[in-house]
Amino acid sequence: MTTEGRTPPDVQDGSAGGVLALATAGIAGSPALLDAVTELLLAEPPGLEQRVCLEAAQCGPGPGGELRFQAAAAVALVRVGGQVHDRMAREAREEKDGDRGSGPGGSRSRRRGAGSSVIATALLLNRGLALCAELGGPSLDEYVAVSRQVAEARMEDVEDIFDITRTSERYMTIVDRKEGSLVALGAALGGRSAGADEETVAALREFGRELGMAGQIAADVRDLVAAAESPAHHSVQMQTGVYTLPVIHAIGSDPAIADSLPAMSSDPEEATAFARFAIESGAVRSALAEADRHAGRARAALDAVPGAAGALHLLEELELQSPAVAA
Amino acid sequence: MSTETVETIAEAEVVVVGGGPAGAACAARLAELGRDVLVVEKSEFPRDKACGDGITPLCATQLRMLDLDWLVDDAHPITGLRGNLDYRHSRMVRFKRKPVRDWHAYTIGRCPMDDAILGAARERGARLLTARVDRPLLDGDRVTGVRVHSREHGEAVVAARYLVAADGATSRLRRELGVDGPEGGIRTYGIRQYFRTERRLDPCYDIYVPLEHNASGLVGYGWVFPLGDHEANFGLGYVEGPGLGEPGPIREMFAQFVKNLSLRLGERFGDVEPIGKHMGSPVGIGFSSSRCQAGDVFLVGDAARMTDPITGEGIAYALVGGRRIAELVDRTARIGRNGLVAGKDLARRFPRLGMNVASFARVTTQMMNSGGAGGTDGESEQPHNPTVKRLVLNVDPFDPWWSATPVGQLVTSLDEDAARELEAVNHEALDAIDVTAPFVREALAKLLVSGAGPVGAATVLLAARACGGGEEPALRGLARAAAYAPLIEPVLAEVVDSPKDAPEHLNNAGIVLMSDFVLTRAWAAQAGLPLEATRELAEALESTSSGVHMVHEDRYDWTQGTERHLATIDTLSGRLLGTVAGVAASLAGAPELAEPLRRYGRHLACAYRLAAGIVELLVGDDVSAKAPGYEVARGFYSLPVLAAARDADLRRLLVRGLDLDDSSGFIEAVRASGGLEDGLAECRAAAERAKAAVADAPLVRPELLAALADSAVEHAERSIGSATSGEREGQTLAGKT
Repeated sequence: MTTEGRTPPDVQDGSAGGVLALATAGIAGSPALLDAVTELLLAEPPGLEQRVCLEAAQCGPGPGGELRFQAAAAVALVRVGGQVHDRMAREAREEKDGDRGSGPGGSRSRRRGAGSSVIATALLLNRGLALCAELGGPSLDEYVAVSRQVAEARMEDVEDIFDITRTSERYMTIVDRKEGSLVALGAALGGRSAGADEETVAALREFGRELGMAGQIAADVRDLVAAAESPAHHSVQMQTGVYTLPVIHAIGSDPAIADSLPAMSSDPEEATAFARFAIESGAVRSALAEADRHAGRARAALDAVPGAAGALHLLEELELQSPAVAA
Repeated sequence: MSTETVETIAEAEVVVVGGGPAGAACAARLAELGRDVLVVEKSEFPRDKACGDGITPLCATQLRMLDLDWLVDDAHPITGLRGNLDYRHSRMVRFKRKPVRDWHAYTIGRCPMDDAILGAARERGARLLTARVDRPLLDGDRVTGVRVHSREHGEAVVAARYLVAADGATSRLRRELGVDGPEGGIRTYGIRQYFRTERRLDPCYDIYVPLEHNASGLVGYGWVFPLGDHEANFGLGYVEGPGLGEPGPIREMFAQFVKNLSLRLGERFGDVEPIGKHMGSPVGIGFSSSRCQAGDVFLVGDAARMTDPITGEGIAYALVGGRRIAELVDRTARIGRNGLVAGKDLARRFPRLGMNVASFARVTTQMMNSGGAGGTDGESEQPHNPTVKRLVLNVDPFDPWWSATPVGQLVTSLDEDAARELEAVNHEALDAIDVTAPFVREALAKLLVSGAGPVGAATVLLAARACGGGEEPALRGLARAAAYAPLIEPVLAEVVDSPKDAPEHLNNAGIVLMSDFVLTRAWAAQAGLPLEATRELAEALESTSSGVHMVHEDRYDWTQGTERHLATIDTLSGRLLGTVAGVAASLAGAPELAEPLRRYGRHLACAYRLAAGIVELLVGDDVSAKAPGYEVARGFYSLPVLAAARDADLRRLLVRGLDLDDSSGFIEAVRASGGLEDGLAECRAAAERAKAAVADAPLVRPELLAALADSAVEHAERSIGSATSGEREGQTLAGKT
């Protein structure tokens, strides 16, 4: 992918384009690196942490101005940087499944492309730090602490690969440290960028944490529900062996099924059968109920915060009650 | 306090429970330190023990420290390791012979070895009591003794002030103390039997994978370790737990293993006859730094689960750990329990031990049972991941202390306070790798000592002192950040070479996560710095990321030229080292010196990086298991190689690819072309530029900065000298910046 022909992104745009402009501002002299970074940033839609940051900036006395875009870009870079390993895993699987016959040149070129992405990750994370340094000491300290926590929680996820004894407590702790803390960071930085007082920032942080957790549980449920519909969607968690709340609940309802889970990593049809079992056993419903509890806490956290309508709208977008998910 | 009224049959300041290698080594050291020590051992020695009988170089060194040279000199030398796949394919890796008198490895039977180690402890003054220890006697967390049962006295008490639990993998004391925490449902077993073989045995460790039962792969391996020309220790060990396959009864599996060896490798062994009975035992895997100490009770060896989770080796850990625990007990006796805890100390020394064995075993099981074979690709029989292969499967002794590196030695010679600070930063950096993900801790600890970590930290500490400071608390954080930041490059470099069929979970994801981890550690270390300094450092880290990309863009490019090469080095390392040197000056209260220090740091980085290029080409690096020319073979050309590539013949060698098993011809060609002189001249010039940058600055101690710059050149010169004389330096060269 190249950047040729793209409309230059608008910094004032809260979407990926705005982040792109800020993220790539420091890159010079390396078109390949610019391409890699651009590809990374545009590959995924704006995340909750980025959107909540911009919405939280509506909860302060000032408009937030340029700083809120900077904050949004900084938190987005933690997520996007972290998504590289998912992307590389996906590429490795695609190559394994469909490209065994390709010549050494093709594989090498892809590997080098993957290498560029990884190097771009380091740049993105460091760029995020540099952007955040403009936001002041407390924001920077929080950014560093959360980034570290997110990196550690990702490590913990990797440690749990194919762990059929993983507990829901362990899952919730990791989701809290990963998605919860990242979205909380976005909300806090957004509030601060608009000059919100620390009490409001704390409420926004709490909102972000609960929103992030609810959002992740919902995403994990969607992954399983999509797999139940057709083997064409091979559940990501089944492939990677990082089992999430609905799977853990399903194992709880029939422990004998656990031993066969690792084999589903390479068998989409088995994964589909399991996903259907997870729905029928009530595991998906109970996971959604947990997500709903977090959504409720998120709503409560913003009770006394003025200007929070936009942020609250993000909760509705999770569609926890939508028929597609709740089915 | 116990109110039982049983006879007190002995008393000692320290009671060591267990007379195996860990307990005996601990007792020997305690006796050397003048402590009154009693070993309580349940068995009459000499006694036999289930073990593979392999002796690593570290183990041999420890035995010699106990004056057991005769034991090592009489041991059966081992010259290599042969990996065997499916009893069909095999590959031999020859060990290097050590420069002095030790072979790389040996075998010694446990029966004579354990007896000799216990004998060494007794010669040093340790006493011995034969009795079974049932439980510790505690008053709160203060030790008062142990409850024992002996044939002579029945139930009795041995009074003691300190207690060392070295009572093996099934440690009763560990259970009694309540530190026998969850291990993720993981259990590890080993079984062995001696055999006489008709055919003469090759003097190598033979490892057999995969280990299977009912067509399902198990995490473990079978072994044949020769104890003589016609006598060997046959055995197998495996990990058992949820999702880890279904092992059968261990004796049946062992019988099948021996049968397979006879049937499928009959030519290698001929007829085999058992000598004595088989012997099995649980293995102490699953070390946790939080479960090595309970008040004044210290655990060590298998009782502290100090067995290598990859190789199953435990004797070296037992001997080193026993000695170290003795020193901690002595320290506690002298100054109280207000300092270092045993677990943290052992975790720093042995970063591999703390890995999550369950996680490693699950992924390995999945790999084996989904088409792979024992972590190899079935064709080349190499581990998938270059990082795993190079950093983790290298079981040579590994010293994580920066004080042993050339730059560490330089700091020690220049300034005692700076040396103490460097040691503290070294410890903090190791402690900061506080994760249990498989391989991460060990790989990062190795990169921390073999890469530019010590150089970055030393630059901060010496720059501050050169400016008249050095006591400022924020300096330590800056030094830690300077140690972590250069790791970005080697961590990221690994991912590009991952084989295409490699299982993604052990390769890319793990390494990418390591890079996140390194970055966030580098950031976190900056906490407490002024905001402006953090901004500067963030930009420097961005520059490092761009530099990594430039390095990879220039891969396999011998036309890049000196100018581009130096520009890459500056982007990669110069900006970073310049920034930390400048910030160090500001923190030391001399902001007016920040600018010259920045320039100094940039040139210093260049000098060190150029020196590293020479060192890597000529001598490689033992800690990260890089053979001479390793980087050239991967397409990363240092200045001597670029200079030599003017020669068409040498370019042809580069195109053909460098054979790391025989790189001497290539290195000679580089030398003959004058490439080494060119590289060294640039290195000298960079060092001179560094010194010139601060020549007019009103430094309090300018000699510190001059010595640091000169040391880069000395590294390069020393490696050229040692390569010329045919010797390889056996230590880490912290020359990469």
